[in-house]
Amino acid sequence: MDDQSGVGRDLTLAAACVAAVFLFALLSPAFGTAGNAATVLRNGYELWLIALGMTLLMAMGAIDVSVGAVMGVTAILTGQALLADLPLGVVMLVGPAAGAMLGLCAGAVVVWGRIPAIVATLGLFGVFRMLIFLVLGGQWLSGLPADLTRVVDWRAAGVPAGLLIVALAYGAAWVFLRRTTYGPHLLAIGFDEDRARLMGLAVTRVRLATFAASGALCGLAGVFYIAIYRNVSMTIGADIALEAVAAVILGGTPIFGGRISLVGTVLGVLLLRILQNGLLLIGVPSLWQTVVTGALLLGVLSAEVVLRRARTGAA
Amino acid sequence: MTIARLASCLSIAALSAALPLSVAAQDTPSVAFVPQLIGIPYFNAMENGGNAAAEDLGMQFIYQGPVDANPLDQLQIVESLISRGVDAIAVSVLDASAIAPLVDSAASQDAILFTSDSDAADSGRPVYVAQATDEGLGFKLIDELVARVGDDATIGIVSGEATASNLNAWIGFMRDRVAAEYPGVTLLDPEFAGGTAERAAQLSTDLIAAHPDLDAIIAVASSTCPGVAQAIETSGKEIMGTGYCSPNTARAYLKSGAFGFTVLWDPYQLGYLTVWAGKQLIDGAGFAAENEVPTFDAPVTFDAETGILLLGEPFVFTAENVDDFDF
Amino acid sequence: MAQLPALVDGVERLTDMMQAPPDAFVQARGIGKRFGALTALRDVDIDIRAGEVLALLGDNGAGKTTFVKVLAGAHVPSDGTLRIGGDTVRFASPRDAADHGVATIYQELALSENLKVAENIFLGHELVRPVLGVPFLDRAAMRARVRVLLGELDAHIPDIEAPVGSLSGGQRQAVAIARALNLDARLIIMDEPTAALAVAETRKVLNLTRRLAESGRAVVIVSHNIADVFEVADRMIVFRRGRKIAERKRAETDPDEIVALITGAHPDARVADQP
Ligand SMILES: Nc1ncnc2c1ncn2[C@@H]1O[C@H](COP(=O)(O)OP(=O)(O)O)[C@@H](O)[C@H]1O
Ligand SMILES: [Mg+2]
Repeated sequence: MDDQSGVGRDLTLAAACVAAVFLFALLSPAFGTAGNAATVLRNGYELWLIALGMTLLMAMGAIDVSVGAVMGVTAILTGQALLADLPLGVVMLVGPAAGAMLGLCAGAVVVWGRIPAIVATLGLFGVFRMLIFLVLGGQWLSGLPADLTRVVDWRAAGVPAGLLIVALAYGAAWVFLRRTTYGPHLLAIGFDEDRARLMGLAVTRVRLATFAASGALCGLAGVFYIAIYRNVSMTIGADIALEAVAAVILGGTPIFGGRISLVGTVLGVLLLRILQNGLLLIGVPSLWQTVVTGALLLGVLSAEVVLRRARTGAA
Repeated sequence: MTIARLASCLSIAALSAALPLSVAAQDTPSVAFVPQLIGIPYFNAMENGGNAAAEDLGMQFIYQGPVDANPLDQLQIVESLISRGVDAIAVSVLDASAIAPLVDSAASQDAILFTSDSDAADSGRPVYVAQATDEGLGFKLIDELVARVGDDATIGIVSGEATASNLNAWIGFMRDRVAAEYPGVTLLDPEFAGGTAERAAQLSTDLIAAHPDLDAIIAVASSTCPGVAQAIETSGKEIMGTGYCSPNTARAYLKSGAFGFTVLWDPYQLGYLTVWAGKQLIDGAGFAAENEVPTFDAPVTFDAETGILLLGEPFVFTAENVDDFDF
Repeated sequence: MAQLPALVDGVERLTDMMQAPPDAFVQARGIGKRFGALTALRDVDIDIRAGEVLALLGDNGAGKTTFVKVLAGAHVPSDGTLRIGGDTVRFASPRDAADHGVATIYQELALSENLKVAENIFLGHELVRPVLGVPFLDRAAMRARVRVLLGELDAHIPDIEAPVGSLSGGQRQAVAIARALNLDARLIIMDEPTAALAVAETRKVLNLTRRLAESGRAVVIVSHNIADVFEVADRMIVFRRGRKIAERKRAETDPDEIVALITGAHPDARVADQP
């Protein structure tokens, strides 16, 4: 499923991550510390989870820009479950369950409403944000108990549980993609939805399931959000959809679908977070970070166009 | 951010549809307050103060604002209030340059437009109801902080949007104070988190890593307070958090020790004063140099030259007094 | 004497039935298909028999693909009935048709080019070992079956792990046919299978087509290439403006007549030109 160019992209990204690490470590003594490495990883948890769902959706030729608001709604529910003193196991399930339902809503609107995913989910983004506004009622959820924080930061043999959960999510996705019928069906739909239907695939079911899975991952991101920040404000998740799409595209899953690279997404998120952290540590004002991210994305995409043109020109 | 914009347009449309019908028909004079955004505790408290004043003074009070701090949405709301015949409209200004034409157009429709909480100084507004001076806020925070962490401290700053003029003014006065009074203090350049709490936390964590000798972090925008506090708690280091944070937002962190104190004013009183000022304007009574305002302990000063009606000294919230407030 | 026309009618029908033996695998009767105001098919009767290659011919837009899609479950007909293997069927989806032994290889649309050879052959019909309801792929079994299928077809595809997009046109047709065989199809429909192929590859695909029929399957081939059709088909049906205007056995016709039918020069073509 990863063709040569996909693997090439993974290597390029990995090299970029390594290069960035060396550069920042050279320029800032604070960068290379174990503590800072842990920080970079910890800052990536929610983005990794949301970008995983986005990778599946984009491989299918869809997109969901309401993910930030879904994370917001599920974070609020998780926070309230925490305040209601529910057992921790239940608290951790509330977010993914609610997220799956919201994702299913998005999928239903896209599939049965026959509305392009970007339009439908843009509308839902507004609806979910209004929901956040109504639930919060103008108050912030803040100073939440640290129970979830302890779970996420608990270390097994030095590896934080949060990172293990993220790795587990990617591992499960890998198994589904490579070892079950889900992978080829997803990619066939992403390649050409009508053709997939002609070939007899249950297109609707796969699309709905993928939206629901992405929603569940956003819900898990909501749980992590509460664990890490222990507060929810109105603006929660405002930027994360764009960051996720950027990471996925950087990782080599094309926006038109038909191809997927989980490794690419892992590295794409990592590179974004390393850059954000490293640039600040070497004293580049935070305002410039978005510029660097944007330039990186444009660079990768135009390099791709040039390479493709060179390749088709040669063929 | 574009996504947030589009979505907020949807919700604006929904909200303005829910606005009360024309208020012109009623006899009681009406005052409106347009905050920078609705749905945050700070402006909710101003709303409560405004309602109390309206009751005490026999006015009608209208509270209406954008769902995210968008200048265009705010202007639309102000325009609709003018055309609905509201007598006096106070605005916590998002875009100072856009207010001047509205002041004139309000006057031509027998409405009075003035500013409160955030100013547009050159707009020709008759009065600015100020919570505190920018200078007072900048100086107060630095003085209180240096008194706690020492005059050789390294201090980081996490702000919100880089374009917010009031936040930048406060940071400017902080720098002036440090330059003039505390030569041993290192005040780092501000980092801008935009509006999201998670970004503020990430920036603070990175600041802590970048400066092992960091003694304090100032959360300039209220939206950055939880993020800064969270980052300090997570780091486990002896760093003092502070900022312009409301008691509700900072309460848990003041009590946990992540925040030493916060500086702000009482927005309830600011809302009260705003409606009182609106009544003075509608009545054509004007302002004296010192004004007696119902329920206020001290007289409220008015500077005729700048047109500023000043609420008073900034207030310092600590673990001890924070429970006396709810906003 | 008044009953005579009815009697003649009855006898005609009887002879019709004898000409179309009951073992015709597909019996399409009065099939019509409208897209809004446009009538793409009108009153089409066609029998398709096992062991025979049937060619559908006609100008562009004559309705060949539309008819094929009705057989394949991709279009629900507006009129008419379809009997397949003795059952009256009403396909709601391509999946329904596949379950009735109908496999279709569409013009340019047969495969998902981003997927590997084996993935394409099994797409939607994978061999699985469910674990807790999760359909885990039985990859070893599928690989083995792919080798058997491609061997049966005498197709040379050096790397079955390669994405189909990297294969030649003839190799892709072989993969598509292997897919149809794997579905245990009793009717295999090929829409323009040789349109994009080089001469040598065309030969191979035509050979394959014959072999499929000889193995007892019913084969329908849509083609513009008269030479190909005369090489491979047992029977030919010509479409014009949504109608079936002619049906010929290969032995009873020649390329000139078929071309005249397609272009409308033949008198039999006139029926379709009436409003
Ligand atoms: N899905 C569709 N919607 C509307 N019109 C269609 C559709 N499919 C085919 N047609 C029309 O039906 C007619 C027959 O088309 P088609 O069956 O593709 O012809 P052929 O395959 O013989 O070239 C054409 O006029 C075509 O434009
Ligand atoms: Mg055709």
